[in-house]
Amino acid sequence: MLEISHVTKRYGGKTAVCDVSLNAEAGRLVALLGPNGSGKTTLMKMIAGLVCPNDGEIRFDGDPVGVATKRHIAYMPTEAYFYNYMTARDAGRYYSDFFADFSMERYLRSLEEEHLDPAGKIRTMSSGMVAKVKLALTFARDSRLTMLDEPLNGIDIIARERTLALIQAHHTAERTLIISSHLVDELEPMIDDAVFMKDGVVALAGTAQRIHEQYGVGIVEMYRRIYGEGGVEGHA
Amino acid sequence: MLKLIKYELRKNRTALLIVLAILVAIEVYFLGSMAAESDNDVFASLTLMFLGFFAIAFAVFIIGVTAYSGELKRKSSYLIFMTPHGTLAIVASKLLFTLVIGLLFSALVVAMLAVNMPLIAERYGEWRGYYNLFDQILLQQGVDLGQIIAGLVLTILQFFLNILSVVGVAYFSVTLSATILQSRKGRGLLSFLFFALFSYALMYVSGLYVRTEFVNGTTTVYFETLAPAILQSAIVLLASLFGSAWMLKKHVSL
Repeated sequence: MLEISHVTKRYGGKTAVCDVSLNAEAGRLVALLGPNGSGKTTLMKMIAGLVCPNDGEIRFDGDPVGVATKRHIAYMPTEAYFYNYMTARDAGRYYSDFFADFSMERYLRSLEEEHLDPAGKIRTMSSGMVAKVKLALTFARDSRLTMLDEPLNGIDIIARERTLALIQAHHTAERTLIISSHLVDELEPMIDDAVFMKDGVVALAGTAQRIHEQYGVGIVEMYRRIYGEGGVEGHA
Repeated sequence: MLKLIKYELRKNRTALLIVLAILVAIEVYFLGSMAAESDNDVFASLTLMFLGFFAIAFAVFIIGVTAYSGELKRKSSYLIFMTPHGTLAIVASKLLFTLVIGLLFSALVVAMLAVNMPLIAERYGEWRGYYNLFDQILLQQGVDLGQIIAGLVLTILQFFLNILSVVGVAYFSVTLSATILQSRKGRGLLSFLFFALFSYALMYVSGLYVRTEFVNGTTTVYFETLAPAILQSAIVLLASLFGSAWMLKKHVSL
């Protein structure tokens, strides 16, 4: 479904992503792991079409990233990305106008469950409330590839549990999810594939099962090993 | 693309309402002056109106360019670039937005003139006599005032198209700064220099085909005289549009 081939992105003298190659199949939940500055967000943005790679190619169902792929890819950035005038309802209308797979009804229901006022201006909301609006917008789309950049950041424990439940419900045989998060332990039970990024390169990639079989540890422990002292690199 | 233009209008609603409010205020001042029969205020309001019309042209330019420039620098650019639109449609929608607001304000200006000119003619009846006298003098010289007005309309059209082409060049410069020059120091200055030099070059080229028979010509002569300038503006506009779209497609980095 998703093919990333030898993708590199440089910003001046700094290489954010270096020669990364990955594949993601339909129905997989891929955890994109790594500390700040490891290249996770840049990689996601390249898949979403917000950043052009300097080298390499990204294809979704055989199409290069562009108009055709954007119809099927939903991306939730870490930052707030709304126009100043927008209320929560305005944001829903925007998505409804441009994404055929967006459900306004599902979106408004999500807002109601999170006790968010659709008429409330997003720029006046707290960071936690904005995070909930972003999640509601993203999950109201019936996209084939959903990318969530740090979806558990800035939200309370109850909302976090609800988000994890939403991720679980969204994770079907036809949909692929790519999630980046520092809260690896909360995601671990759901992860199918893990990609550990370090300084812009893939330090380790493989299925959760193979990592466990090959290294005898789970995702969380592998995270500690890679980003702690020493480090492990390879492919499982 | 219509939806993209709709959201451009919505995003810039405040700036547009401010420009509209200023025009309305000037018009109210004029009408009030006429009602109060205060000649000084009438002429002051007409002066403001005249200056205001030129200021609108620049306001359209500034709104059009800053809306685009600001968008590429803010996270809200994610909203538009995540949508299933090509970069050509995205840039074209912003240029068309500039065209739409230009046309709307032009229509408002024409409406104001249509309301105000008869009022002025009625109050200052001797001006109609001066107009008729002027027309007669020109006819004796073989010049039709109606033809001059047609030439004026074509000139305004060419002026308007020229503004759009300048907006296009500004878009190209902004896009250059945000893409190819993104990692360079002084990219803002470099792109501004490009804009300034290219605009100067265009003015120089357009000066090479100025014809002198414009003043005493017919509508056909006016069109032939203005056609090269209109063509130049159209070419520059299209080249800027496609160039900006290409740069965004190959080098966008939000």
